[in-house]
Amino acid sequence: MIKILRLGSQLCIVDRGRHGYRRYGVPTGGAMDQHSALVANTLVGNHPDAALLELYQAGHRLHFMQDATVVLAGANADVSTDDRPIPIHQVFKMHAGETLSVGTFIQGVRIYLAIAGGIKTTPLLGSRSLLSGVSGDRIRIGDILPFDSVSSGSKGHGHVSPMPISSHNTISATPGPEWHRLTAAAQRQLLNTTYYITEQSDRMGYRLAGTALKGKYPGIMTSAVLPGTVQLLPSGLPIILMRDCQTTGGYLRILQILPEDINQLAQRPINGSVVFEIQDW
Amino acid sequence: MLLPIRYHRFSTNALLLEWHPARDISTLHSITAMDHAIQSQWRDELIETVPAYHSLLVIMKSTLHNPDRLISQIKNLSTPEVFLQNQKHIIEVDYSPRHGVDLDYVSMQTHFSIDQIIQVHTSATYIVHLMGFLPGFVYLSGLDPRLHIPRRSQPRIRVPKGAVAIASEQTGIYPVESPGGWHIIGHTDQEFFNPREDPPTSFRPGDTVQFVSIQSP
Repeated sequence: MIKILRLGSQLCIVDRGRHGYRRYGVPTGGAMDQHSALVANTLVGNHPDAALLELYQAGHRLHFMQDATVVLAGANADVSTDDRPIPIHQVFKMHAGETLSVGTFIQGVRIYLAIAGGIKTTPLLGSRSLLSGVSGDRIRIGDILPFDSVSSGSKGHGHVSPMPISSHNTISATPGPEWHRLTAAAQRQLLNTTYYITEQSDRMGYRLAGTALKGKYPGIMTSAVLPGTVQLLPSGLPIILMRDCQTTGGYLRILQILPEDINQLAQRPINGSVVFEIQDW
Repeated sequence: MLLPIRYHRFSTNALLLEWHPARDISTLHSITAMDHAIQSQWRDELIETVPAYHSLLVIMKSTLHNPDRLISQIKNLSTPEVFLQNQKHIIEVDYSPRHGVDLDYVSMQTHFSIDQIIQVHTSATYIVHLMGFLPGFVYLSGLDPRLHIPRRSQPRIRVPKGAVAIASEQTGIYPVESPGGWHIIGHTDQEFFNPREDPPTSFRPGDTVQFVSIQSP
């Protein structure tokens, strides 16, 4: 078991999310950076569906109450135990009684910590991912998280190359269902604007700041959205829906971000910049 | 009856089917029939489908390498009339002002007394079109046009679980606590969403909802 001694901004139990329940209004959720979560699980020999921890920003302290085989993937940060630094992408042992601390982030904002055997909280609707309205939505100091003690997973789940965190701000997207409701001038402006991720951003969505598109942008009749859908608010500013986003929405769906770039966005900090680049099918 | 459909490639692995924008029963039937047909045709290839008022999102497990072929296969599906199960949900609502905190405002806007608001809200039969917004939140059609008032300009940070609310042409129940911009006219103690059950809610598109007024102790 792991005891949470201290929390940074956010610590989540994540996996590949809930699939099959969007029709009931249940968001998919799961790891914000799905690729890095998969890298972590594969390195410790876990099944790709295994639950792991998503550590957002600095300040977390985790106390291991039993031995564990562990690996980190995703963001690059100063992570250490009581007596040694822990490099990324290298499987290491935590011994019962040791504490792992997450310090300064160098690149990216989300670390995935996988334990061989996986986190073993009770699944709800086929997933252990924390989600408001379905399971508890947050972990608190003092919480104890169970995991299966295995020296190493079963292996044989293949090797997945880590995703280099992009130093460019370009995010690739395809046209959304309402892209053609924008004038050609508005489309050009949207693609030529550098947007910034505001503090009103979370696992549900990133609100962007920048020059708002001129014009009126009335909504649509409520229809499906997905993680990676870029909606245009009536204010003329876009919002990017992320993993915990709701299942339907009424704003114009102007772009759909490519899957690998949703993972890139998951590693981008508040005030980080975004430039959209459109790709036709 | 077959209604015209527009096809849009939504993402690498999802296709959006869109009907003419309408909240009517023939569109609901057409979407439901198509949903059933697609689910039985591509059972193993699908992650899920997401129906809404006038659309159906079809999410496949793998990348759509040939979306045009999928579209023509969908066009060739036979979509027999589906008899909607039409389960009727009776929802007991306490419309007392301690729960219905916006009743006075709604009364002012509609020029109805609170009793008249309750009478109008409980006399309609509502139809479930879709679920979305929150786990277990149902989108209903059938609100009396005399109760159509725009949503709040400032959404509330916290709308309690069980709140029964109205906004523009819609009425609904908050299945969990959440922020929200609708006008709260009452409260129900009934549970509509249980993540320990699969499926987590008994609502289905095509079901009907009737609100009845009760006095809580």
